[in-house]
Amino acid sequence: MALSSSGGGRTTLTDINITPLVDVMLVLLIVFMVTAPLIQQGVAVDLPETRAKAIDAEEQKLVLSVKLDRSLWLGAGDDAVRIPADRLEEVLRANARVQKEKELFLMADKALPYGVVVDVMATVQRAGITGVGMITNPPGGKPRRADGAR
Amino acid sequence: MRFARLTAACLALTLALATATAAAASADRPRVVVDAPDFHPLPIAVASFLAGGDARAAAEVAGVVRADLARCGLFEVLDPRSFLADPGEGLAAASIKFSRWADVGADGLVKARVSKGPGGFSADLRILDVRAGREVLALTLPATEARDLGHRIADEVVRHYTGEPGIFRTRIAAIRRTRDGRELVVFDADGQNARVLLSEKALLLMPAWHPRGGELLVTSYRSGIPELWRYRFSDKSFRRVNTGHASMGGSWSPDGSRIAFTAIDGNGTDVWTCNPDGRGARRLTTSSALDLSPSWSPDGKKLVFVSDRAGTPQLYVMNADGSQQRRITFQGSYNQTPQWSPRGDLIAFTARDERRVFDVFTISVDGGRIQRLTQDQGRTNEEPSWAPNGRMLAFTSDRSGTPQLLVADPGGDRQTVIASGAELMTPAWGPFPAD
Repeated sequence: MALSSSGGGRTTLTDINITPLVDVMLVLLIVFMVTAPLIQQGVAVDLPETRAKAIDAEEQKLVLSVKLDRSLWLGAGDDAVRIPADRLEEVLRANARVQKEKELFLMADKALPYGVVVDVMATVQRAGITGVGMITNPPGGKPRRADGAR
Repeated sequence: MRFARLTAACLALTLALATATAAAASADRPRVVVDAPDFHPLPIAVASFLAGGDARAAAEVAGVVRADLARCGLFEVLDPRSFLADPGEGLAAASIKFSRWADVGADGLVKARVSKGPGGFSADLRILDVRAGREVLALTLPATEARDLGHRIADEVVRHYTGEPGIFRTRIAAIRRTRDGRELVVFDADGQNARVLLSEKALLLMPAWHPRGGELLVTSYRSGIPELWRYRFSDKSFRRVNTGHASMGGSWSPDGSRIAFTAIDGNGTDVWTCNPDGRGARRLTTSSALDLSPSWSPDGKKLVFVSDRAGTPQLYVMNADGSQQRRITFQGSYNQTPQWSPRGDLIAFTARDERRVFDVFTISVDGGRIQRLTQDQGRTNEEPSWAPNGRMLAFTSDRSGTPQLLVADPGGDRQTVIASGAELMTPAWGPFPAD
């Protein structure tokens, strides 16, 4: 009287067909907003002010800055390096750090047109990066640097 | 089940990140220690080398270093297209913007200035620890050729991080099929610089290196039957070794004093040893089955060989006098071409599975642990040969059609085709260079 599925006995339902019901690939760029009072040193960028959740001081990502003149900079502070816009995707794609972390921090000047920033974010996404932390200043916070474009 | 992945996790390099200048206590150096379970290749950036006169040579040297370090499986060599540093950035730690190297993911940084002089090239080499922001090695290396200089630098990088010698200046011999015969070819360890030593109409098989590198033992059918022949590099001589038998698959003992080989007689084959001139031949196996393909343990006290005395070809180990023969493989029905690692811990071999596909495996000498290097990569991956440091293997594969020459780490995670074109067979990785 075993639970045999052959010979006309009743069939057990132990074998559920696990063919995927949904086969959708979602390509998402996860955008999170972070205020960066002190920990991130980028280039001279006038950041927007928000009440976003503060990021953990332990967390350091590669910083991509977009200045008001639309120039792109990779890296922190005085060591940041200007990257031509047409090379950004290649440089990020080849970058072992960002390809491991899959996230970077974006510091864009608050006076930049929305379209310019979205363009940069689209390039970042094409380079295989799945998370972008938008760096902002806390309300009433100081500009990122004394020589910031204020 | 992919055993190679397990191996990868086992073959490991552990980094103690505390560093010191080259002159300081070696106990503080960053270390790549073998066989730790949390192995990750060390992310290393090889900066564009500065040129003292010959920019093309400097670029070639840097390219050789990057390719060498990537091929050996111990390093994750970072893509130069990602680099943020000024290409003209100096060698001194004080002039280096380390955050730019950290931003591309580098832990180690290799810099050099390549100069051309009357006698060849020289490199002012620096290895730097990116996190600590300081120099950990400074060395001047000479070489007559740019590629050799690159291999020397890569050897120094491996030596710095592992404490073991690198193999980038060694050579690999192989048999190449030609339209009307066979050639004995020697490649650099990166597959470059192929040199034809012998071009024969007769069958040519299974080269084996003298432990000091000056000669190759080859099986040749030049006289109509398989016999052992010795090719000497210094005078390009090719001489027959008279063992008194039809013989094949010779292998020099680690001290060069004896040759182990397969003697063919009547209806079987047996493993024998003899002096390098063929005298003093001694039979080690006496079974009526096929006993063949001997390979020495690095201490010269044991031999691994193949026997079908139990019905199928399996690996056996015996003492160098033929005593204490014992079987070590019990999985699979077709195990052959054993090669004992120079480190002594593993034996590499070729196994045929139930689909009649050949793959490269390693087994621990006690027979307890089998690991797979290749799987679903063509129908034939075979004839493994160990690099002299026991950290890499050369083998042939038909994964792209005509059998090519590949090198890989013992886990099989990093496999690189180094020579292709005409069919390549029976690679033999040579010893460390004398200088």
